[in-house]
Amino acid sequence: MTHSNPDHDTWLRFISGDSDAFSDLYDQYADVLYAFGMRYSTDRDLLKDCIHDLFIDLHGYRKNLARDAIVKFYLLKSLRRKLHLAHRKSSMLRFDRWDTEDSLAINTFSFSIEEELILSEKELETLQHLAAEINLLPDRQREILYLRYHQDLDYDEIAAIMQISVPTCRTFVYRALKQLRGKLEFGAILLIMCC
Amino acid sequence: MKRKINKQEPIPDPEHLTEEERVAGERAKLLFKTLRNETFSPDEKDALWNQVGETISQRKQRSFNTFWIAAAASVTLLLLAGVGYLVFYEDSARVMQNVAANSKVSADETQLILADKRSVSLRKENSSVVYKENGALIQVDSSSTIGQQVAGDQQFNTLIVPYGKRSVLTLSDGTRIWLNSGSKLVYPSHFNKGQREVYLEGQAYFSVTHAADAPFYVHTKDMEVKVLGTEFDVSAYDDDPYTATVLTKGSVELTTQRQALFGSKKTKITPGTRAVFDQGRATLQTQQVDVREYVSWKDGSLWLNTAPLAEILRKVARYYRVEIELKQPKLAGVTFDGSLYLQEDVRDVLKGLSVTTGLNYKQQPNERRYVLEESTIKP
Repeated sequence: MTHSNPDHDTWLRFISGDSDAFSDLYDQYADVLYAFGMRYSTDRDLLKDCIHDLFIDLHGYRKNLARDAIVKFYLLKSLRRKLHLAHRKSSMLRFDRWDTEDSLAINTFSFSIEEELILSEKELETLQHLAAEINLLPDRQREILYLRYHQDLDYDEIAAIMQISVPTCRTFVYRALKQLRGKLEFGAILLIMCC
Repeated sequence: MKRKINKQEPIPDPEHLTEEERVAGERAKLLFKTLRNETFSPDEKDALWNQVGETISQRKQRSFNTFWIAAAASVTLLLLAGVGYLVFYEDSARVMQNVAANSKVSADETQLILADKRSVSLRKENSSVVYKENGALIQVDSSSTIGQQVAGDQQFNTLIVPYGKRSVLTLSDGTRIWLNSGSKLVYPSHFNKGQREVYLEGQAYFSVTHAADAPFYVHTKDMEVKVLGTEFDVSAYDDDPYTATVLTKGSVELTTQRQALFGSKKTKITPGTRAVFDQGRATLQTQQVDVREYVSWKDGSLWLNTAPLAEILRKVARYYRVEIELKQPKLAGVTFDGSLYLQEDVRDVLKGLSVTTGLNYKQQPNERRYVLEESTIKP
């Protein structure tokens, strides 16, 4: 696979017990994991605990880790699982809110369109509208879009992370896009009407 | 701009997507590139890394600890077992040691102290005590008989021999013990099954009746002698810096340094061997000796085999607990052969010595001190 990839070399060195590689791995991925985790949680301390535990586990089980793992995907998946468990635990302790929903919900997104992209006013408006619509999508559809378009994961990986099948994953994407298209049309109509 | 976007990544399941959906996908992708991430501040990142490192070292410590806790636990168990063993095993030895410590040596009479605190005086120079009827009857000096209660808890009798006297004790199992002058022996009023233990301070010669199922133990301050049935001499005077065993027959097992839990040392010796435990150096040394030299006292004489005068005087002094000074040190190395009869009075012994050596002896005003010197009138 990507064996020539320096990230993967770090991974291999880490598995073979190189403590510098462990430190490199942390340096490389701690930010990514933190940003990813904050999509799901607002509790920084809880997230840091999960990242902490993740690295402890990595270190503890490094001899048993797959040498050909796709590192980033593996780490994101592991962290999401830890967050999920931590959330379930904390919601079980919260008696004021009977949360039957077991899944880990992704937070709403805040896009910084103006700063990042140089766009025509109309395009900007369209994207702002789309952003609002994305935030109105069901949690799991939004999560897929995030994993797909922000984390650049493929369907197999997304399915694994979200613990759904690949076809379900595809269906979710399809539905999300369909909805967005519909909303966009609606938004366009609104725009036309306003103009 | 749009064209640029269109060129990008294939859209999921393209055959089912309409153009609008594709555009929506492209736009969403564009949007997600602008997604603002929560940043992990370098300080927080470093702090978390340090925490990770700390936890790992703690875990290592913990697994290390677990090992050591387990190890310590087993050692503790062993120790407890060992202490329990020692407490149980040494129990009667300690009790006897205490009994010995609490009984005073009378200056001039051999005494037998019974468990009920009765004290029997034995006037003879060479007294004898014989236990009969499993210890219930004690025959003293073949003249009088004393009865004692032997049922119930183990109780101890003590035989105390002052300086200048000796005593022969026959225990209920037939074991004979010659107690030398200035010695104490503590022993149970009767032996329980499978258990024969005595405590000695001073010197004694043991002729132990063989009993394979009941080893005989002689406890002393520094040494424990275990036998099944043999003859041997044990010398454990309080004022000697050593404890010694001389074996005449059979074999004995010596245990030294009992107080050191794991330092306890067992040594087996063969006939003709003298084993000396040096208190100061805490070492046991063995040497081949002429046994008679060490055991002849029981028959009332000192057996001399090219014995230097100094050594003879030392033994005599010990036996009668007197001080003997040799005026002319050059005579210390003169050796003698034969045997020196140990009479009741040290003066009789010194008289005999004077005749043999051609020396004169003088008793100092302090009556325990004697001086041996070259006679001014040459013989």
